[in-house]
Amino acid sequence: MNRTSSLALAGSVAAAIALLSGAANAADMNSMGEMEKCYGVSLKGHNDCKAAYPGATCAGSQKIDYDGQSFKEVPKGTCTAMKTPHGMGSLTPFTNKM
Amino acid sequence: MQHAFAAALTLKTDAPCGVSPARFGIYRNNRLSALIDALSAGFPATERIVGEAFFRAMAREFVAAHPPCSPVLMEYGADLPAFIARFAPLAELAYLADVARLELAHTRAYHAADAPTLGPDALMQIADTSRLAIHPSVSLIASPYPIATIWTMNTSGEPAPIEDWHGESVLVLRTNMAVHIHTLDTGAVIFLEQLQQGVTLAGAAAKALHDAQDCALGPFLAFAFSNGVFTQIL
Amino acid sequence: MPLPPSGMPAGIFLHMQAIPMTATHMLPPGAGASFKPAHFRTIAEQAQPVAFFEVHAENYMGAGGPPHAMLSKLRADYALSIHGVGLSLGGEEALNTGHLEKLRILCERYEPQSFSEHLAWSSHGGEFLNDLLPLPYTGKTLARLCDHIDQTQAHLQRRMLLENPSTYVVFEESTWDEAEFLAEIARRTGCGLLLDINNVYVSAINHRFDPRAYLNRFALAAVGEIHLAGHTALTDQNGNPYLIDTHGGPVIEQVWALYAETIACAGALPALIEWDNDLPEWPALLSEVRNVDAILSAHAIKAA
Repeated sequence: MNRTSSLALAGSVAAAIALLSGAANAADMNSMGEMEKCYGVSLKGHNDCKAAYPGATCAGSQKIDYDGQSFKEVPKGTCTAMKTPHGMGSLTPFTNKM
Repeated sequence: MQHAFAAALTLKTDAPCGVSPARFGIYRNNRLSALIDALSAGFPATERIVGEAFFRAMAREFVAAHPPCSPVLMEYGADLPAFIARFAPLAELAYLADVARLELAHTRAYHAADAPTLGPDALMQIADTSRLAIHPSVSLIASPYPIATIWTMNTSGEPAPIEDWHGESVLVLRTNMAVHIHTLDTGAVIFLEQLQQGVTLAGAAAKALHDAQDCALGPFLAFAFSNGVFTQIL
Repeated sequence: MPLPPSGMPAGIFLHMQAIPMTATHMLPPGAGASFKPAHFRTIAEQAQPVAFFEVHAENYMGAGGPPHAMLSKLRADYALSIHGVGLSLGGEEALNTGHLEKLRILCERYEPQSFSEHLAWSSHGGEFLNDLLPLPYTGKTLARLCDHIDQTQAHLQRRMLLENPSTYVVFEESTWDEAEFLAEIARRTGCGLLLDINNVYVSAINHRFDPRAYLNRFALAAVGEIHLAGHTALTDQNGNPYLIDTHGGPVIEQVWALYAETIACAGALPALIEWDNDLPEWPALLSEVRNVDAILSAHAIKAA
């Protein structure tokens, strides 16, 4: 029995029940399928005890420059394919304002 | 000894005396590349949007500014969205910080605590004065950018021009064992935010109907009670 | 009360008595594999000829979700080794007690047949450095490691295994040989050892020592598990070979030979194939596991 009486809520609950009635419970029906799917796309663990392949980063062995002045990269991923109100995304090299 | 070693490892000083710089470089490379890999694993859409070269270079700057303090690396990168928001070379990609926020919520949902959920039958038991406990995996991210569209294009879809550029509010939720994202309309966002704050169902519904135009909570309730958004009637 | 064995101070012996070391805290003496979520579906669909699986503790320190669902299923079907990579036992600072408590909760939840950690340090000044960093082997580092291992075993209420590292640098101030250093730690704390034969080989090439001589000095009686893995071979600017412990390929011939020689002396021991980089499909990992089985079978026939 629906125990809601507030105007705001009662109609919404009735609508939800109407939407769900007859339809099988999607979550229950799919729970095993969902489980299967998720194992297929499980995140790999973040902690490892491997060593990195040499040259795995551009780190080299120099000290790091923290001021950001030497940052030369420009975004070149899918941002160039996704249109925004400001254009196609960042294609122009960034210059530090001094 | 370890203080000097750690300082050199984190690239604040040169390799310690008596240690071959080439051999020491192996440890530097191990540390940095594994931390960058951990960020890459947690923010795959962000990486795809800016490209691998940019992401790894940015991640290197992030590691320098925000080294991990916990050995549990699944928690590493909580500061990355805020870092992206302030990172000058990304000024033109204003939406990226919110995409990173969505990815952070996705990882948190993946690892969130398990809890039994309320099914559709519970719709018959709720009352005006009920308060609902929300599943530990749930996050709400409201953005002025179409972050769900962008995220979907960069995970399972193909990036393409986005004709309808508008804000999206995203619910991140783990149903059974799979994390999904769902876009919510304004009314549902207000309703869920109210419930998160411990407001009663009637109070939350009244606020949603008052503040949002053309709000219909029925579809959201049907969705929420068949996808495990709630865990308990309080 | 039994007398302590000669050479072992009574206090240490008494402390060890409090730590349960039952048969449930032993891995089966067969071949194991690193568990990676990418292989879960294959492993869950069909029983695999694997004696045990090993996971990195830190990847299971979230509250819930798929990692724990997978590990619970795995633990129900196989013996389990939990291998820590972040405790920093060799750290100059006090152990991270919060992390130690997370390890205790994990061990209590899954009751693994083995818990192991490394002869290394990985945290300093509140920062996690995310690598297994090398230590000088001195009286001072020995005392500190023993304190940290005592603390760990007391907190977990179980015996742990300590793994020999692969290293790229050595310290002039070391006064102990690494194998003897590990043996002394095992003697003082009662911990067992995890013998990583690939690590021995990697360090032997990097520091030009004889891996067989090292293995001859190793306290084989204390070994509770063996690790086997692949590495990457490189040449430095002087033309000298050196190796990186990448865990990204099959075990090489020389390491298999050292493994066969080790079990000829020590008897059958649980042996794990570690594979972390460039993870292959499950059958490639399984084929390495079968190599371990073949060596164990040949040993059993010889021994009979």
